[in-house]
Amino acid sequence: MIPALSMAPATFSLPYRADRNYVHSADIFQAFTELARERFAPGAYLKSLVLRHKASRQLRASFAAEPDPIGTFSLQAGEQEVRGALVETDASIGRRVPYDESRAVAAVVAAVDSAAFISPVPGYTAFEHLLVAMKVAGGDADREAWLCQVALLGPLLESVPLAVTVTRRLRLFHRFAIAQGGTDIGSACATWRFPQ
Amino acid sequence: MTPALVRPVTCAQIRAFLAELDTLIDSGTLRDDTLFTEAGADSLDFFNVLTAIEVATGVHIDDHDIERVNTPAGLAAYLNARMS
Repeated sequence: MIPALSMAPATFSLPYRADRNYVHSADIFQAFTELARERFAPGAYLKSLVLRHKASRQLRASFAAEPDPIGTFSLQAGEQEVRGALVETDASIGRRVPYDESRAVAAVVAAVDSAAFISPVPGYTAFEHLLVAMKVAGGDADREAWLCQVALLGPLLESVPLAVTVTRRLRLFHRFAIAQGGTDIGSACATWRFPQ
Repeated sequence: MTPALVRPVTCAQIRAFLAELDTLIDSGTLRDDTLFTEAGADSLDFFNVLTAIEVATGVHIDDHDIERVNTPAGLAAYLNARMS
């Protein structure tokens, strides 16, 4: 049983990255990872995340039903899965951090419908590796693409090389299989335009 | 576990299948000829619905057939014409 205190809403303190005026999915992923570990268990992780809209204000993770969420999530803590909604608040974002993914883009090895890192690139999280690999495998490395869905079978490992393969393209959406160390660890979906 | 889609696929089967997916679709407003988007689906939902249907049935839905499968009735007819 998860204590009620752990189920209180959590308001994130997220920055903008570089010249973007929306919250980057890597920052959302990191915020959820920290929330899972602090609230539930050191090994807890973000199991699934759906982002239906870009957010330009701070976000709140709610473990209750919300009328107009921008997305949904689930956290895996041991045998227990905790679901919730991601809500955009009225609080503005007052911080901007630098971000340059060019070193990761240069390191990824591209093939037809796939992209892989030989080894992790220092300075980038595993999730940032995932985003870069998806862009490259999707054939849109020069354009902005947005992660709209990720589902993981276990926590992303920071020290294990990551690879993705396109499993389905349909109009603006691509779905990817994610592997680390040769093992399938989940799937993700990206779009080049946000859902309307 | 999503319900099976068995030929002949019916709109009721489609609705039962969709009910098990995490989408914005309001099953209360989804009639046989209602566009999925009119029942609340956004483009991500539509993508997820079609790819889940593909996995469940083995039927590949081409890009140029999207307008033919945007209602329960259209989707059922499409699947029945292609499922063995």
